[in-house]
Amino acid sequence: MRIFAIVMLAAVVVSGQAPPDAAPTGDAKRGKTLFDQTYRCYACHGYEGETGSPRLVPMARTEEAFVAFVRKPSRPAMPAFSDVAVKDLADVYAYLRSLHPAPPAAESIPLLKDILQQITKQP
Amino acid sequence: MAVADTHDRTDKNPVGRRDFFKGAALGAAGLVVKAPTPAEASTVPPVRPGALLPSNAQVQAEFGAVAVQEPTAQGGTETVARPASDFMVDVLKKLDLDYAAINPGSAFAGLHESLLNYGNNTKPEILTCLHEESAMAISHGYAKAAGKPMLVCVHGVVGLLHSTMALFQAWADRVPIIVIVGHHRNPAGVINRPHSAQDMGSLVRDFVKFDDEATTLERFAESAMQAYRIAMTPPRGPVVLVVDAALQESMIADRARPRIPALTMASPPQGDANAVREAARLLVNAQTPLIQTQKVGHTPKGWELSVELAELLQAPVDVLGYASWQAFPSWHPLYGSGGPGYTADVTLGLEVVDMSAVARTARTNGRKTISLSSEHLFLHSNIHDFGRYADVDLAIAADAETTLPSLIEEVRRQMTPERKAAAQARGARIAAAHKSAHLKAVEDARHGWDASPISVPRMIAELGAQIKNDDWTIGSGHQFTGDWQRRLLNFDKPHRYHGDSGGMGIGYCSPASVGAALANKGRGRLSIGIVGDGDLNFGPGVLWTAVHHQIPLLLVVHNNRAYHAEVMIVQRMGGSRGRGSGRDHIGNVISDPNINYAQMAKAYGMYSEGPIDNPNELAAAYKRALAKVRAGEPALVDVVSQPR
Repeated sequence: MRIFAIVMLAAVVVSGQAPPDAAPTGDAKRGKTLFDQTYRCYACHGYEGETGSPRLVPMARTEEAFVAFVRKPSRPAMPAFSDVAVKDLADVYAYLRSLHPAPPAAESIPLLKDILQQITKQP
Repeated sequence: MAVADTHDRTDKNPVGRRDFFKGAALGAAGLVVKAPTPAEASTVPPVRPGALLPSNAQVQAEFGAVAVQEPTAQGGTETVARPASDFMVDVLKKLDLDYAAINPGSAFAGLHESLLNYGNNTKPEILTCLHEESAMAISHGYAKAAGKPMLVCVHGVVGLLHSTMALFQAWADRVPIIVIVGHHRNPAGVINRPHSAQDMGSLVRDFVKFDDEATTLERFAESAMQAYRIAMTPPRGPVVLVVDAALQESMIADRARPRIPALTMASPPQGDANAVREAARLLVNAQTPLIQTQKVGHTPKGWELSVELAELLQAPVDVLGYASWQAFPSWHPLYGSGGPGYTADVTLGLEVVDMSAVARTARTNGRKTISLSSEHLFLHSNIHDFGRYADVDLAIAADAETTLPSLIEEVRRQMTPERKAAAQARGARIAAAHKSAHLKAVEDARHGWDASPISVPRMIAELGAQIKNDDWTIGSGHQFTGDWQRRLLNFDKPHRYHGDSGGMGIGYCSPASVGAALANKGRGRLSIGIVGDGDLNFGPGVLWTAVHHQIPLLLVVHNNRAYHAEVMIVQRMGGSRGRGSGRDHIGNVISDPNINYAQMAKAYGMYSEGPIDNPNELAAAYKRALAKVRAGEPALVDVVSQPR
């Protein structure tokens, strides 16, 4: 529990966003299938929710807010999935919440660390 | 048609004749080198024609009365008749063309044979291509890397139509290509009738800068020089010479040989001095100047000048779009649009095709815009690659690269110590903003770092680590890797990145990468192509061309198994209509079955790695493939990747 708390704290520090408190109600395994193969959310957001704007991981919305947004997005770039069942979106939400909330720090990845150092040395 | 009647029989140009005989001697030398040894000659039967050669009467019946001339004797001295296409080779050799990309066709068989046996298959050397679109796109990529055009020969109508997409992209990208279209102008047979046209050039006139159908050798020589000069004068572009097959195959006596004119290049247009002075005044006195670049820098000099101007003004440089040309170093402190809150009060566009939006906004807000571009000299266009009308404050119709020295000089002259101090302070702020944004952008690469399929930044960063000690070049570009190439790889030299197709059509990157690699062959550069799976499927035959001609190239296939931009577009369309779920993959996804590009490469004889979906296996795969490339071979790495 303590480790989980540290991980979540790290996620907050990295993302600057607090994860929602309530546990997801959906089926994460089914959600992955929906995300990858049915609604193809990965086309914009990557297979692990790591791309697109915004990134989906760590998830900043509550389940209710997520479902409402996907069905009627306030951003024009996001397609409206207004005819998708709430149950499906709850499953997708559960899948996204199941993904590791915090990517590794760039400095911990040797390749990226090397590039960051090169940029830092630039005039 | 009367070839013989139009020959300049009085021509006594000694230079032309010497060239002709020198060429003939060269051709003969080539034959001597390739002649079989006595041992071979005793075992190898002589090559015989597969069918009886047509009689002169038959040829005349098919091609017209003057298609073939018997050798003539004049003044008591017997002369030797030679194919007219030999003369065409002499003309082409004046153009310093290193390669001729072809997919064979009977309509230019005369020229083809002359290139081989008279021209000795050197300058130009024939590059065998498996599709005319590939030939044209290879020449497009080659021209951007080599700084000069390649010859492409296509068969009338069908070959030309096959090539049109790539020809259009070269036009839209303002890239020179010399195209010869063989034409069965008077076909007797059924097969070649569809290969004849009343106006062959009209098939592509919308997207070439010049076309001509030479009906005599004299005109062919003149048109070739004309075409080359037009192609290379900014704004550059592809040009077409249509050449009757019968003219190529006709025989001419040496004394009837027309003159080959000298090739005189036009000096590129330079900006009016008063306009340049006014541009400098606006820029020097600007509080927040911005430079936008697009197709500037067709030589390394253009890159250097862009940097010099930016540093003098301490103005940020926004390389527009997906960088049809990369005219500014991507890690330079002034790279970008100046950072958050930087709003340009004077914007200078260098060879920017469309400044309409920035000009409109500037007019509304009392800001100024300057367009320095050879685009203002454009003569015609049907396809809307020319952009909208831009009500800029100052439009200078001139080649930017050619005009930059005088603009720089004028800026230097008008720069006061006060303005210089202001520029230095501005530059420091821009540099700090750029560095901060760049670091943040690189840090973003950690998201999905260990994901499978492999993330796009991981695919590129792993490559960058393997080539960091090489003088590398990326021969083509596209928007489907986002901005990751420019973020993670330091484009610090003009040849690092040759940009996109200009026409934004799929199918350019794979052949263009082969063309750029061909231009780099022997220059000590490591050639890379990062191409989409969708792109490669438009013309995978280029893999064979790369292997056959031993062109060292690492082709990285960004294999995301879909036309992902279209997935998103159809999703958005369906969403806007309240029915956007579940079917948008149909017509957009390339799976079921997945295509194995590593196996595809092997089928064409190319070394390959993959498909690789484990990011931890990528470095080793790159290393093995690059070992092949550094040894002089092409190689392909199939990376199963995230969409973008």
